[in-house]
Amino acid sequence: MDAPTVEVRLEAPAEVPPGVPFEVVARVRAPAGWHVYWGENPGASGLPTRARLFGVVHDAPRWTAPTLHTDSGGIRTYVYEPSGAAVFLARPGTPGTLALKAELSWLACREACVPGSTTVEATVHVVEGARAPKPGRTRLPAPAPASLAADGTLRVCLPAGLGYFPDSTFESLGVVPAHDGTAWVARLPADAPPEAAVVYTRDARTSWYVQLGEIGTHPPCP
Amino acid sequence: MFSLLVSVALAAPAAVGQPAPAFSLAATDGATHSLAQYAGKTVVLEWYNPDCPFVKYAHGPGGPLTAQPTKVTGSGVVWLAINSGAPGKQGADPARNVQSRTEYGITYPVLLDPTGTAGQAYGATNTPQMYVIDAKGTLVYAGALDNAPLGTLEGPAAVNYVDAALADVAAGRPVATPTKKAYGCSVKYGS
Repeated sequence: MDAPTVEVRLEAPAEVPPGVPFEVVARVRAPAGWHVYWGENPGASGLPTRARLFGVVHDAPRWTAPTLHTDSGGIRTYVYEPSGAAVFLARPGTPGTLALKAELSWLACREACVPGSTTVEATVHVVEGARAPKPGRTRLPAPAPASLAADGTLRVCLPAGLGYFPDSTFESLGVVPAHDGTAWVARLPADAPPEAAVVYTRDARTSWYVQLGEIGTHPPCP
Repeated sequence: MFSLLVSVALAAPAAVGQPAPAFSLAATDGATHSLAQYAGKTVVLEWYNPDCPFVKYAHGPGGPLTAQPTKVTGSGVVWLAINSGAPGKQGADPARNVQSRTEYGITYPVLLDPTGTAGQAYGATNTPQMYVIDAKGTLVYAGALDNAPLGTLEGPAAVNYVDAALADVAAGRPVATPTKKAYGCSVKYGS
């Protein structure tokens, strides 16, 4: 069987001013009929797509929202079908040249699965007086209105009927929020890790996330 | 959407701490193996697809499943591979399974589950995916083989969860890590 050609691109502005954070985007695209897996949780099978960035100080990547893929046997996985991206917020220092390198690895599946990896590069010049880069055109999940009470009750104030994608950490809590008519509600264990996060999706263009440790920065529930 | 939910509900998986689901399946050599016949022994189940790259890696040179089963069965543990691939799906052809035992040097039975009944009863979704059943027939571990998919370590140190579970069982301790999210190819069920 021929290996699928998964396309990977690294996108970054050509010039940025010193000290102003900018986005570096690693895009993956699987060929028609194939999918690769969400970086935060592949679901019931598969392997998460991994992205590592070198050459600049940066935050942990944020991943675009996945879609649900159901294999025979009712195996539900969270995938990019065909494409998704990891977005890094990079923090440039003093003027100079940044040689960026990103290492990506993935598992591409149709019926058969084929692992792959590659390295992609980009160059960014840090220049005094450069125009600040525009906000990214990559659509990331927006912070959902949410609250987390002292007793562990999580409320995510979004409508019913959305796609639900827990990251691996949230999934391991064994708790699935249920909609009570106004919000998605779950009672979380006291030791729920702050990095645990959930993504809700309405369609390919609209998605939200909740990360437990960041709830103070999310909009409040109305 | 609703048919999807129904199929998931039917696949309600075996739970750790509960009796392991019974099965009776033919191996590649035609011999039938049932869980009941191994009552009183510790049993390891390995969900298998000879053409899945994770299985190939695990059974390939230096892979985690090249030496482990022989070491384990030498101490009286039963090790069974189960292929729940449906006829026509990748890695499901019985002849390919016979040949793969030679290719990978597998000495334990490879059981064929073409209807997927055993796989669904255990909730197996990946190859490889591992289950450890104690001598009383209780499922005590379900999940990943290790924390190094395709040899790439996740975490500070390598952990083989099956070895860890077997050590706990042998020592009469509760299994410290009774579940770990499995990784691998999807099991190639028929429907």
